[in-house]
Amino acid sequence: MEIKRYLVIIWAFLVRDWQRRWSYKLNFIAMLCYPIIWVSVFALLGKTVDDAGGMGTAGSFSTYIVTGIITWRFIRVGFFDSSWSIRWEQHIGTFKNIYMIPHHLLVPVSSTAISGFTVSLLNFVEMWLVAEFVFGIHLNLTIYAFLFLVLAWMSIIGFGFVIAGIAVLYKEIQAVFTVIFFSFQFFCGVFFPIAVLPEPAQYISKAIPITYALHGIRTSMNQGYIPMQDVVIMPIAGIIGIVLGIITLNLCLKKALREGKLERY
Amino acid sequence: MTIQVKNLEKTFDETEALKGISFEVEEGEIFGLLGPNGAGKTTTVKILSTMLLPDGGSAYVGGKNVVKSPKRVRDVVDIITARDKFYRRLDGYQNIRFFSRLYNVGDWKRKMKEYADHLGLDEEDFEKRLADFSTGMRQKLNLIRNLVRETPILFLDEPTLGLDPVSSRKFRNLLKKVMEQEEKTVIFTSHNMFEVEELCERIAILNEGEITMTGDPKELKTDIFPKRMIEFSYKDGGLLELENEFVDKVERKDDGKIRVYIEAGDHVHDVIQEILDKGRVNNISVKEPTLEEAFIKHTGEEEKSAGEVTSWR
Repeated sequence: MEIKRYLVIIWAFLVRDWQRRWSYKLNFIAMLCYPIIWVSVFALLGKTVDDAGGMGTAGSFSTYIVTGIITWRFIRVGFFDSSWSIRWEQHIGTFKNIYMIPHHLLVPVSSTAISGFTVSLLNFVEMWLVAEFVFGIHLNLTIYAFLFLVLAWMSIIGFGFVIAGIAVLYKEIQAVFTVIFFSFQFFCGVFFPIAVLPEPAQYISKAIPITYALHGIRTSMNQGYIPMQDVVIMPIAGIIGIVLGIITLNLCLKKALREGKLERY
Repeated sequence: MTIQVKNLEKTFDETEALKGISFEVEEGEIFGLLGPNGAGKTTTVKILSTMLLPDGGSAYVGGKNVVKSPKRVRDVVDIITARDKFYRRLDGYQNIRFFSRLYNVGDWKRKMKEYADHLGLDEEDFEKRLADFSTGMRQKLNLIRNLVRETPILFLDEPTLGLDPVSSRKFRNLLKKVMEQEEKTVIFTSHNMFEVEELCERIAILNEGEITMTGDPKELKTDIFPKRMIEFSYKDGGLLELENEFVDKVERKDDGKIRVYIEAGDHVHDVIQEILDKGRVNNISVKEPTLEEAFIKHTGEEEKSAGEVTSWR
């Protein structure tokens, strides 16, 4: 498939999604407000903890938790857009028309995810601006930190493709994965360091790529460099996630085509 | 040959949906797949449009194997059903633009306008959100979405299902108009005999996963139901005795009308001549069974329809 053709399809999804969002005016405003409220709550919580003694020599809790929440939200949007894409089209009845394009299903699925990336980006910018200029929490946003964030997003959309594939066959499975994904908040160090978790839980933390993403971004934003361990792990996790996603999507698609479940909602 | 289907098989759990069906569709032909609910029509069309994998047999669409080259098949076919949907929050223009970009349609604006003019949709209609479209308008837009792609092969899977009789008729008229102008190969599935008879050049009767007959609708009717009816009345009344050897039965109705049942063929003219020779005739007409009648008889649904009035036209 030509790159130009792929870009046109991505553009089509991008325009469609933003037009659809804009058509729900109040929801659109809410979409802009949520990240601001979200980052404000955690910035204030961080400041409260800092005022009470904070994290001592480990740095400010405000910076820690705001970085965590910004990164988490960035990744979360990517995960839901990629995993929900097929299911959503099935739900509203347009899946057949999406499937009829002469390309692999991964093309529309990844295009939806890339379209969702723009929302992640918007939320990220909003939250960063509020943290920096409203609460005075300085996050050292370098180009490397940002590229690392994009890498983290890529590793997560791969797992989103896995769920998108399974959801073609088992419609309710998404609810299970949503709960699992939300539980990652506790294991990956979004709100607190993983060191405070019980030891067995820390093994789970180490098996989830988001842990390394958060660690790398925090170190980069707060200390100006990305640890080599995270630099190595994230691309590997990204490649594994995307390869796993493509394999799962192919297997599930073939099974759905055999069993006649492709269009079924 | 644009579409070739050979020994196509499909089973869902214990149900044999297709039991090795075979048929061919020539380029530019409008081919009808006629059958009752659950006969295997949608299963066939889904396999041909690569939305379902067959268990056995082979199918080629535009010379491409539906199992081995699904993407190349999807490049030359499109499918329209009554279940097709749009994005309700987007307007008609935005919807068509999205799908045109997806399908790599060049100059889609011009094509959209052309088809819209042809189908009776104006610019204001395209500015409305899909949520505000009537069912008829949505079906027109559905047709436009598919036509702008200009695929040489089109599958219409019960496209009028759920439409009221007026909308169905309008939709058929639209299709006829479009088919007159476009050189497309079409497979049209339906359980509505009337629309199949009206639109299709050749049909196959599909029943319980098997094709039981193929031919043009007229031939099928004659094969299945080799009778014709001549209905008339004499101005001065009177009994009728016909000598023609092909006359099967003569009935006199309460309203004075006489019905003569004969075997189909050239001798129909001889019988009419004999009737005319025997008196002054009012409104004589030759009636043939509808495809519906032939279909019911052929698919063994006769018992189910016992007691219903035989439909002649």
